[in-house]
Amino acid sequence: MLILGLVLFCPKSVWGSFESENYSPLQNAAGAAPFSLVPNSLGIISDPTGLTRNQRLFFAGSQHNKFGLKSLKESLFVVGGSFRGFGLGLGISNFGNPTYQELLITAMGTKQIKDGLKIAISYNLYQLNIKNYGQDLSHGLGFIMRFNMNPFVESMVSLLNVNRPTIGKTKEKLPQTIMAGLLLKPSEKILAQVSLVQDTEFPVSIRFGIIMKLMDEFGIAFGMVHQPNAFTAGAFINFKNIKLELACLSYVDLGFITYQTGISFSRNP
Amino acid sequence: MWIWALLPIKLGLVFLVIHSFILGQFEVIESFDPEKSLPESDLIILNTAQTIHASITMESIDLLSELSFVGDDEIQALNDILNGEIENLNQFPRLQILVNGLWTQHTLINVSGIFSHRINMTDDIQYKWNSEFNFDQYTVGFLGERDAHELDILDHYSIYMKTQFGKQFYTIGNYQMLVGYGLLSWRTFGVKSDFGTSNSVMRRGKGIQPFRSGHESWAYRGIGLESPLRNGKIFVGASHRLLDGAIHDTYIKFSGLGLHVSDLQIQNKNNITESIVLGTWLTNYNFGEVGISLGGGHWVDKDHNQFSNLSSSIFGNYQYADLKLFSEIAITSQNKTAIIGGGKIKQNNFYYGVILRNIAPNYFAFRDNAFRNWTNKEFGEVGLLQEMRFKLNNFNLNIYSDNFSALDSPLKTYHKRGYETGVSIEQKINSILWVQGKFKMQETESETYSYLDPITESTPVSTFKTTIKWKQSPAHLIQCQIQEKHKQGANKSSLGIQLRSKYNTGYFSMNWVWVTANIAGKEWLYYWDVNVPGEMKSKVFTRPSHFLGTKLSYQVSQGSKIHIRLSSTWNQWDFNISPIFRCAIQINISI
Repeated sequence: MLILGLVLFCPKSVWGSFESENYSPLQNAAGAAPFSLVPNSLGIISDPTGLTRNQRLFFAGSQHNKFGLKSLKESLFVVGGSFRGFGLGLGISNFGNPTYQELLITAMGTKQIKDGLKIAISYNLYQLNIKNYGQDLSHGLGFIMRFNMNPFVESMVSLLNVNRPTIGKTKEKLPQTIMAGLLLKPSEKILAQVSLVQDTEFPVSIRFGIIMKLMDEFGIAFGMVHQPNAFTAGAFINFKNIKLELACLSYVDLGFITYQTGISFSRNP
Repeated sequence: MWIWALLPIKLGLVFLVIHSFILGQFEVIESFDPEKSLPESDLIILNTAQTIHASITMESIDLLSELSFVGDDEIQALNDILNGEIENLNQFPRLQILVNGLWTQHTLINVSGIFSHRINMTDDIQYKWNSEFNFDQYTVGFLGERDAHELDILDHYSIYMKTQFGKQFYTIGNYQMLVGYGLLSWRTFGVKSDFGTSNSVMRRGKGIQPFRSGHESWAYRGIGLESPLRNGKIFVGASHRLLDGAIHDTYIKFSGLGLHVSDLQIQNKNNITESIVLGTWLTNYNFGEVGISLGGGHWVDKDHNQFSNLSSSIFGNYQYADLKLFSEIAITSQNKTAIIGGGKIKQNNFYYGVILRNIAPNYFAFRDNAFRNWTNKEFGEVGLLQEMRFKLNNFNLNIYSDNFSALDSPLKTYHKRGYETGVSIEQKINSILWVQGKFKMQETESETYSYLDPITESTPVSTFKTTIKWKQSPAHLIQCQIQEKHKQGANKSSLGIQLRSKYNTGYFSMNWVWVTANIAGKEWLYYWDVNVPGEMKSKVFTRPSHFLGTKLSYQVSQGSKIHIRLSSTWNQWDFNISPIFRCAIQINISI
């Protein structure tokens, strides 16, 4: 049913392995932002520049069923902190079902080069398991840069899998993705993002979203994604060191809805 | 003849009013003919010089001296300014405009690097990343790009590091070698006939430089060394790399396209393995320099076709008082020879330059790109360029004429010929007002192949341009340019009009351009496109069209700037067609 839906209605071509984006609920709620919107959160799995200096250990996780389908379960988990001026993190993502399973282990490091400039490198270990067909491993490298242009604007660029990794006997190309965006902070309570995400084999995806902090402990987010077309919305609640996140992605062309929940725990520096 | 008869009248209409204090680096580049390409490295060098350096220093002069269009005398003038030997650059108006444009804005101090990220949207997206960093004695640079529709995220990248240990300079990674006067190894683009060409041609190559251009098959990749000797100095480069191209009987054809989208293009990517060693020894004597270059190269493609080449050249220059002579003679192991030489006499009010070249058909060295008019190397070229400049008070007259002929032709029946002539009149009225008139005429024999016989065509084509720049206020500049291109004997001329406005408030600037062109026959018109820093694309109008473009720039902070370019083209005179929309965004960051 899913495959039929993707082939007939999804404007992208049929997805290959590891095409699923590993975003936190808040990133997804704010228009599937490819960059971490909140420092030291689940977002570092896609954007390690979210690791800050002087951050003690934190961990975060989320779980959801892609497109609301029970057979496409996705779990994310990260742990991170800073060590001698370097931000270090480790993330795990698991996607699929007992028959088809994608496992991604990400090790990441971040360094602030100059005031306002952060450079990050991620090493991704991809493992694909298909029941009765066996498994295979592959390795990918990512480069991410974030620059504070002024107190209100940050620009980011990220290249995923620059080393052209392939997987399987057929040497299926793993997604090579270019991500670029601007993060705008017009006020303390509003955060907006506009970004481009392009898997080199597919048309560019344009995204934007807004996060509004309505109270000190509560906020909402909403956004839009073009390619695949989707409306996104969500909310978050902070309770001391614990943050709860909720996201909802409504795919216009597919008619599917993805609900995602997440939790993170952070020790204050 | 009627063209010559009408020349004085048309020259009276052709004038250019420039307020020198509002011009910048891009106005200098815009003064070049949009029909002829500029090396991308020039644009990157200007962008880097503006960001990293704050004024005329040893380092900034060293960087600017790598520009392809700057002459020896202009580099000397910069050094004289630095050493306090002259007070201003009034004698070098182009250089004055360039320097003022580079460093009049707020320039950060203690900037050690630049990074730019460009997203260029057409029917797909081209991404380009460029950076250069200086720290201690190291200069490190990176260029990466993914062209539209390419599947590889970093389809092309170039990395270089330049450093100094003792008296030796090392360049590791991608570099270029500018040897002699271009018969063995030169830039991605050679010098073409134009005003000021003789001066540019007479610049001896500076040796080994980092490769900053996006050309995917031109750089050497390996290590380059520059070292002083007891008697002179030596440049040695060793390169081993994969590149795109084709092996012919007597030469290698490098692919300049750099696109890897179709199956064939992907299959031919990096299809040639190249190994080159090239060395140059250079020494000074009382009245000039003399040098010898020797190198060998070996190329193998995926089908195991091979080609080897040994090339050598001897070059030198001689200066006595106002007279300067230069020459380079090269020979390859395919027994192909090439000679280029000439001289100039320069006095306060008079300049005369002459350049001769004789380049054998299918002449190929390693990266030869000496001055010639035809880019097609198959037929060779012999030619004579002359240039004269007169200066009377504030009045300048510049004339050049280039006559050239192919040494071979595919049918062996005749040799293609051509000439190009230009006249420029320049009047500096006062320190802020400058009037210039230009006229160019070209005639080249070209062949078109019909069913029965090839047809040889040779008809003069004349181009007139009228440009008016009006500085409405210190922040607002309006420009109108009218261009006419006429083929002798034709009933109609191609006619184009361009309106351009620049508005600058310091932190925010907006440029917009409107072009309307009515094209007759094949007399296409060229205008500079709207460009973000680091690109200098021209726009060719091949049919009646309208074009609207704008560039917005916003200085987000002292160290960062965002540029956005939007353009729309209607390729039909009555607008009854969907416009072609293009846009780009570029972020420049100083670190």
